[in-house]
Amino acid sequence: MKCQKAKNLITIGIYGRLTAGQKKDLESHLKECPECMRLYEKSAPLMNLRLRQREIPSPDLEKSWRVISKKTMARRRYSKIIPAQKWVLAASSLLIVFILGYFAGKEVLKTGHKGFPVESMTPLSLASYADHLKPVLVNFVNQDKKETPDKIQRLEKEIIRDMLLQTRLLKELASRNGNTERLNLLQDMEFILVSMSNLESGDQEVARHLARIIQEKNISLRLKELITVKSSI
Amino acid sequence: MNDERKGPQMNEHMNIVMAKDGNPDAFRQLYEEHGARIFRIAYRHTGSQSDAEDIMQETFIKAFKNIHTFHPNLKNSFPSWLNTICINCTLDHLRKQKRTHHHDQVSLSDILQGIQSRNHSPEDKAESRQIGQHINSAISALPPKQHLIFEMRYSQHMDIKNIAQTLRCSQSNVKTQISRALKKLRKTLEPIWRKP
Repeated sequence: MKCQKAKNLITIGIYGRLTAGQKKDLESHLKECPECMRLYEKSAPLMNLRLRQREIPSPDLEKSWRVISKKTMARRRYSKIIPAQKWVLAASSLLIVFILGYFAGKEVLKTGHKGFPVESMTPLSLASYADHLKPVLVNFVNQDKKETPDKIQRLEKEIIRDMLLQTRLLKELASRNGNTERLNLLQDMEFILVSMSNLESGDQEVARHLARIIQEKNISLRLKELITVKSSI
Repeated sequence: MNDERKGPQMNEHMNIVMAKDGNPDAFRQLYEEHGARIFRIAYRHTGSQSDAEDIMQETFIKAFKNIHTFHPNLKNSFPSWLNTICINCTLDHLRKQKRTHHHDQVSLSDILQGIQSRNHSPEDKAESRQIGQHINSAISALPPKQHLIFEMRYSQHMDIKNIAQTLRCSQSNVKTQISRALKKLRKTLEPIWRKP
């Protein structure tokens, strides 16, 4: 063994603990090396002192358990879900909301909005209602259905359905207020809009008939008259 | 594996499975099984009962919160998983301590000389406690990782491979840290050795 290693073993003997093998190696070197023997004798009072003194006390396991359980158990009761499950749960929730939304929407279209809670909606003012309705009617009367692209027809139908909702809402309010003139107009509008929303692209004859009704019933004029009377809903 | 060892291991396995399911009794049993051992490891590295208890608590809190990530296999048993958490907690603790406490430079030489001049035997309890404290301070003055590796290697006699696995570093890194720690500690003894 070299002296450098012997010095390291003396250091380990002071700051740590020598194994039986290390002790044996060191002792055999010390017998042959007076210089290392001198270093060893100087350091001998320090050897094993640190670890000899270190008697390991007993921990207060019960007190520590109270701290551990307080910080882990209470939290665990509420979050048994592991991260991977959280993603699955989030994705499933989204899917369920989407599916419910899809079927609810489908049902509304089928029933022509009959199931809609009219009371929960905000009605348009009469002026605004007329403004929205006028281009729909003008467009319907003047348009050739054969030449209108499908995409635009779908968009028109959506607008018609929205107007139908508003019509029903206003009709409900007019009926509560006992305004007969307005109620008649809104009933006519409801009939026209329902017919328009159920119109298929090939029903040219029905479309022409509806356009005739709109003109015969003077819908545009009646709407205009209603707006000029200062009564808002 | 003999039957005597199979029983406790099966119990431990059951406790781990139940703990993953959030069973508080299973946590308690795992704690009772390993608490004292973890405390001893922490105490060996810190030399302080309150620090060792803090580390033990931190170890179990981390272990219980992350128990779903523990997957036992031949290389990774529950005790060695706990040991790794405990060692990492100890390392964090030593780092924090290092930031807040400044260790005085140790002069073992003067102390030793004082003892010899008064003709006291170092076996004297008060004197030897004083020396022991200075030796501890010299070790505490090492960087936390070197401190920990030195203790693992020369107080607990863990082999290099095991230390590297526990600390998740390379074996050559462990060897470098050991040699640096030895060099620094040897320096504290040189004044004693140099005196005629």
